[in-house]
Amino acid sequence: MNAEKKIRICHLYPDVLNLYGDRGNIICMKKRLVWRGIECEVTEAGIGDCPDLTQFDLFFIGGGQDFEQEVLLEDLKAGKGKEIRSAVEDGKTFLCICGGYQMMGHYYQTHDGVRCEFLGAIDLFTTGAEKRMIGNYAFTLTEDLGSSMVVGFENHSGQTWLGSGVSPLGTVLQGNGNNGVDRTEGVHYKNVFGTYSHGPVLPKNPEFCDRILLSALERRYGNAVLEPLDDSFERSARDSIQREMKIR
Amino acid sequence: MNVEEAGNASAIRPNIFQRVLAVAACKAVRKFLRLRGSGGTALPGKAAMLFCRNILEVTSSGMEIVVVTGTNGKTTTSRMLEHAIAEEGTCLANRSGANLLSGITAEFTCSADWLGKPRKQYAVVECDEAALKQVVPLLHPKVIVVTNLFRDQLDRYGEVMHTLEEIRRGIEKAPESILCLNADCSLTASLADSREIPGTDCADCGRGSTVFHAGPASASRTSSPTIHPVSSPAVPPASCRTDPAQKRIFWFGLNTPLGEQKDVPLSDAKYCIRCGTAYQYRYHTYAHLGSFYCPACGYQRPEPDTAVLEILEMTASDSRVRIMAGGREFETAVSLPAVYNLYNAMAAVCAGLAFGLDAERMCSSLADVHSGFGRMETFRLGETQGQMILVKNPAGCDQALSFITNLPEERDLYFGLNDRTADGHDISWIWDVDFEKTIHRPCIRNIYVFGDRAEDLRLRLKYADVPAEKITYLPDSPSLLKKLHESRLPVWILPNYTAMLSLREELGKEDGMKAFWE
Ligand SMILES: [Zn+2]
Ligand SMILES: [Zn+2]
Repeated sequence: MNAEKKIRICHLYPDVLNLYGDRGNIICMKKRLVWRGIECEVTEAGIGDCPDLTQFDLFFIGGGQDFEQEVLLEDLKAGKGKEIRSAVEDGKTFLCICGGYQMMGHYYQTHDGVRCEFLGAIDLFTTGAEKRMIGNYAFTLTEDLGSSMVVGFENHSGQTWLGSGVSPLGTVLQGNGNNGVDRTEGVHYKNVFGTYSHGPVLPKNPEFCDRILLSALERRYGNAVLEPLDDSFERSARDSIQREMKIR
Repeated sequence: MNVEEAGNASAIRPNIFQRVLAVAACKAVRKFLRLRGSGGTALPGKAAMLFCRNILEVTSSGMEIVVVTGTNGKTTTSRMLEHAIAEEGTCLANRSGANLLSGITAEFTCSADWLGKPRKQYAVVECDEAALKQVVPLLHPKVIVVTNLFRDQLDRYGEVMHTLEEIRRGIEKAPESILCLNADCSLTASLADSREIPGTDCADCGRGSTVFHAGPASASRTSSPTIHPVSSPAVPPASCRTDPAQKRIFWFGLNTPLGEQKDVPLSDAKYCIRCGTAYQYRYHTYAHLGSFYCPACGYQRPEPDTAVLEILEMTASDSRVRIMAGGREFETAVSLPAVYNLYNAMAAVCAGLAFGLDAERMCSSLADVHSGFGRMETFRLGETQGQMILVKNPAGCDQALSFITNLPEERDLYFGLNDRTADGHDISWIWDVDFEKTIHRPCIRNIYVFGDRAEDLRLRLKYADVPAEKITYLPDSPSLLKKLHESRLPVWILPNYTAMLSLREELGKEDGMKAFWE
């Protein structure tokens, strides 16, 4: 069924956006494809690298440190930014975590009013808050995405606000999510999945991972099926967090 | 009352009543806790600070003190230093992970007499990076050692740059202290800036002088460090030939490459901290450590005063090395295994020299030091023997794994993972450990996981392609102890901090091991 299918993943800026074990997401996506007989190739595109982005099916952008973000913004301006925007509009799949998620929006405005212009690929923006939002948290994916529960670890001081035509990734059950105010978490725009969830998010949330992989397979092959895997270790790791958070 | 502000209160001189009350409160609370079988170290300190906020300044006054901070190796470096300094006179050292202001206050205050007068001459203090700025204004240390900087327990500080800033703030609050810095760590080495105040010091040679000279002037001398902003005023290097006794910065490092000489995929410091250009390396040692240089602005590894010149031999329990210290060369044994302990040894020798100890004595004391609390300890387990190494971040865990999996005989491996406050609640670092590279080596027979987040570890190992049947999940301490005692093969245990404390306590109950606060 999956014979000769192949997904090409581009890991954007692994050299600067690589905090909090987020590369676990790449490991997870790759393994869950390979275990189903689908080939997977991961290419890293760091600062100064300019591969042809149109050849990829799925892009991953992680979170990073403030200090290195300046270097990155310059690289985006130098050309990759434009390519990323057209890949988004083209329906390519993106998984963007924390800083990488914020970067897809219009800008980040710090607490003392300094504004940093971002990609503007999605109608959202982020403002710096005084208090840092840290800890395990949980949300349910929107109905569109199957309503399953996702647990993760958030650690951000930016509050993200979605534009009116943009849908969130899910609804916060416990914790802060986008801003700690409107109970939204993350963004889902075309095939872009943005979230604050570190942890890394995918290994403990295999339904979410498969949903992302499916969108990339559908975009490339028209239709796709992912046969179920034995997710007992995944589930028990998620259950232990759920118990700790006393959800349900 | 907010005890964390105590560091700012050093200007107030406590009266004798406050002092006596503080000392009494500290000793009483500690005694009470111990009677109840608890090794708590924070509470006695907090009790003392209730009566006298800056009691630590009183109970440490007149002592000569070394403070050791940094991400990895604080404890081992402190133990090595303590070992050497204790030969000179009475030496106080904080133990049991009591490395925040309250814990350090408790150690000094309980060791003082009833009037708060210190009873010991020297102290070696292991200090948390973020607590440094509160602790050093009270301790007035003679020497501050920074071992290295790696990503660690991220949710406590946010980011490695944030931790670096915390250390910098601490160092700036102790302008009189001599610095001992890791020359191979580009993050740590940048702390030399804090001694680079125009008109007082020359950071290039580390000596006190009336002027300091510019990057371009020294860039031509390849052997000397260039750690100046390019824009600083150009003054000839000759101007800093001052009295070596006034040397303000001592550097340590490894003058020899180690391991595969290729770029680390997950470097904690890939770009120049001065100008953002990617670093180049003349050679690597491990993680982001090595002989780095920035091709754009000239920031580079300073030439160390204390360094390993050559590794002659390395075994499961120790190494033999040729080192340079105090301008001389020595051949010596370091009675602890693995590369990271060579860095700890160099940090200790370097700090000893800065403290005023003799290079030869420092080196010979390396040969008979035993490992720091929990960092690597050996114990008997029925038929076989167990070894425990604390792991709390990817760099440390990779080092421990590469060391263990390079030993010849077969063994069982135990991983312990908790996510309690002292561990930093975030355990995502396990996904940055390069298990894929080491865990499949044939010397690893069975793998066991235990602790609050054992299931996360099991999942991580699954995604590193470890077969499910090779991993056993141990849900509680009875099952863990049972498995340990049944073991026929030598056992290696890699726990994080609180997982180590609980295991040690359990083993202690059975075997009468010394309680950890002694
Ligand atoms: Zn984040
Ligand atoms: Zn530079």
